Amino acid sequence: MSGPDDATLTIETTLLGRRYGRRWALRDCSLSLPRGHVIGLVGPNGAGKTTLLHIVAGLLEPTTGQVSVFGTRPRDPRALARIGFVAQDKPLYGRFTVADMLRMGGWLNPRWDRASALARLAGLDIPLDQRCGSLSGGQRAQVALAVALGKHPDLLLLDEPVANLDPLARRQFMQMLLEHVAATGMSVVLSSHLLADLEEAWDYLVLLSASRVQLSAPTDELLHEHRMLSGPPSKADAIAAAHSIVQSSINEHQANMLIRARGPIHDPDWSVRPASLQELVLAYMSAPLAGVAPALSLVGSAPEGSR
Amino acid sequence: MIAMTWRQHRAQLLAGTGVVLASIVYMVITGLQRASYAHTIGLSSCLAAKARDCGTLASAFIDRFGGIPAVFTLLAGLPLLAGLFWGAPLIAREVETGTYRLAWTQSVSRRRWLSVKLLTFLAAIVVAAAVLSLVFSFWLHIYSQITAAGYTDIDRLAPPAFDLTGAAPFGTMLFAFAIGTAAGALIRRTLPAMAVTLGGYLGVVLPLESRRYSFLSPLSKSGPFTTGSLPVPPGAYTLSSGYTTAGGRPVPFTYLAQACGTPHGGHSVTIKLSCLAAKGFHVSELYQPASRYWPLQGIYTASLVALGVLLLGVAVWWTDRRVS
Amino acid sequence: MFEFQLDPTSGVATYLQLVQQVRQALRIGILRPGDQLPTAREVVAKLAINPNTVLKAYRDLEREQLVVARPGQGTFVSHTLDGPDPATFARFTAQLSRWMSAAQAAGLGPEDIEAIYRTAVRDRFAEGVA
Repeated sequence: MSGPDDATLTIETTLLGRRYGRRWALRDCSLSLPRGHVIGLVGPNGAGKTTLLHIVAGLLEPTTGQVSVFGTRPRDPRALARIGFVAQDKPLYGRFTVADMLRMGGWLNPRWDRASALARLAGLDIPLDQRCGSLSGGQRAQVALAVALGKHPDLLLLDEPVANLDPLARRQFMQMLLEHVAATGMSVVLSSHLLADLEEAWDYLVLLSASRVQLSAPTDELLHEHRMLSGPPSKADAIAAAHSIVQSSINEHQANMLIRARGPIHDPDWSVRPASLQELVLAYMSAPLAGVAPALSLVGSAPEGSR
Repeated sequence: MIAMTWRQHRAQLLAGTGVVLASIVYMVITGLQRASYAHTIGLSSCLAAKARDCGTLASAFIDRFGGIPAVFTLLAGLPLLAGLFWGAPLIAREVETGTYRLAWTQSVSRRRWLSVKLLTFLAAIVVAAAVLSLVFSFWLHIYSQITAAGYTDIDRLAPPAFDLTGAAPFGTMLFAFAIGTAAGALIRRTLPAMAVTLGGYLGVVLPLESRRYSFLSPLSKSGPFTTGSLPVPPGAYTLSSGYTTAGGRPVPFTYLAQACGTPHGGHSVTIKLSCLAAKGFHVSELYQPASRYWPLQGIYTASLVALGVLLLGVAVWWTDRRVS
Repeated sequence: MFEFQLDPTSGVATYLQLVQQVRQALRIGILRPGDQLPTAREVVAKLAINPNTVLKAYRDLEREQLVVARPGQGTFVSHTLDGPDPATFARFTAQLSRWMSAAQAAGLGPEDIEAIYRTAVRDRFAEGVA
């Protein structure tokens, strides 16, 4: 557990790829993710989010490339105890009671905080003697999270944790998770194909689309740099020359563009406003919009994203 | 990890214990019945004295209880259950329900996780096999004594006794468990793994059951029938018999039955040895003597254990390296 | 203990909302020097936002010298806002109340009043273009 990487990076991947038969679920994935952040992993279904998480959690071997967590392989004993994982369907042992699950945590982890786990579940009125197989979806998620947090991981990976939860359960789940982050500084990677509810939690974004990394940056930086522009089509080329166009829609009357600004825009003919995270993500995920005039292509992908 | 193994598999282990207990209870009850009857009619003391002719008492005993009941052939198949219900679901269930994504992201390596589970089940197998073997040997004891005195030929060399005594139960249980575990690891679905376990177990053990008597070169003995005993020594296992007339002409068994047999209810025919002896028939037998019991047990068990260990190794290696 | 609220529809960044709510509370007098602000953990446990957002808001307030962070103890209000006194507040509150009554009498509903207000604020206080 030594080396300069350990101090600043949780996850580092180099040209990571995973193939199933002919299909590449993940390709040329190079990431350097910093510690102490809640990292959102977004992308459409089938983009490779689950594959990436499984590789980082040590459940899957990559076909190509390298992955390291805290400077070592994910399945290295030094890393195993520091990584937590909550899979998409929140697996629990159906015949175990909730109390059994907490005991399991103590049996299988050298570091185990039983008291906090109990307190969390008590706060949600989840009975300890109930079998996991008969818990509701929201309760399963809570128990799975409590078990994952109990080992005090330095990195917690969650695969679509709130996709199937009702709004209240979703809220409680995120409260439990983020409170733990606030208390311990744990790093989190949280994948989702939805943005609402989770935008507030993330402060770093990785966008996977078509099995490749399109973006990887702090949300502050992304929001600071991206702008929605609206203005005269005749000046569109000037903008394209000075900034990165992510997406554009141009017709004879108006040009609407999402850009990654390389500097300030002084021309008063352009109306400028900050882009929201949703607009950003949608733009990077979708193909360029066809317009009457020649459309500018999706310039702002791969090179910017792979840091 | 041991506590975890127990909690996760206690139902399976308890069920297995229940099955073994039930078998033992059955064996103890029926064994005691036989032993006490033998004592009551004076057969036990007669055999102990050795000099006297206990033939009538022995016949009475056999008439009363017959040989080894058919249910013991079923019991000899008990080891298969270790493969179907302990081995096949071990890894397959974990993968098909998705709980491997929980189990393998705690702080225990896959190798340790699986090794502790395997060792736990293996310990249970050692105990179950030892108990079954010992209790059945107790059950068989009176028959062994009657056979040693030459009055019948029910002893531990022949199936199902060979499969229920000595080290054979351990070998078959380990092998069944190993096939189940390996099938579960590679196929990753419980029901198909169970099917493969069944097929694999029968496909290996059934042929082996007859071939094992050829592991060591069988002995051969030929001679005329004499009243009172067969040319083959007591407790031996006959691989094959050939019959000839007094003049040396080979004849099938049915010829003997026609010559000296009297119908005895239904399809069975009693053949009097004295008649065969009088007519000068000769028999030549290919057999394994009783003294070869432990060497044959050793080779049989060792083969199954070796195969089993190999399969378990494959299961561990595959789980550690692959299983995505 | 002072509690934060979040308006996800307002279009204002979350950390700014937190800053504004503290400033507002200071103005009105809900928060006074010496009062403790909720810890990042408490805010996050209620609002389910990123802890760094809270820390950023508190840092901004600290830079404006409105609050001070005491290690191991928490974040405490250190100054009131230099601003109008309560009397001024009361005067303008009354003025606005009269204006609203007149607007209502003229047939304007809550949404119309809100629209007028927001447009006026935006036009007057909008930040320069990046």
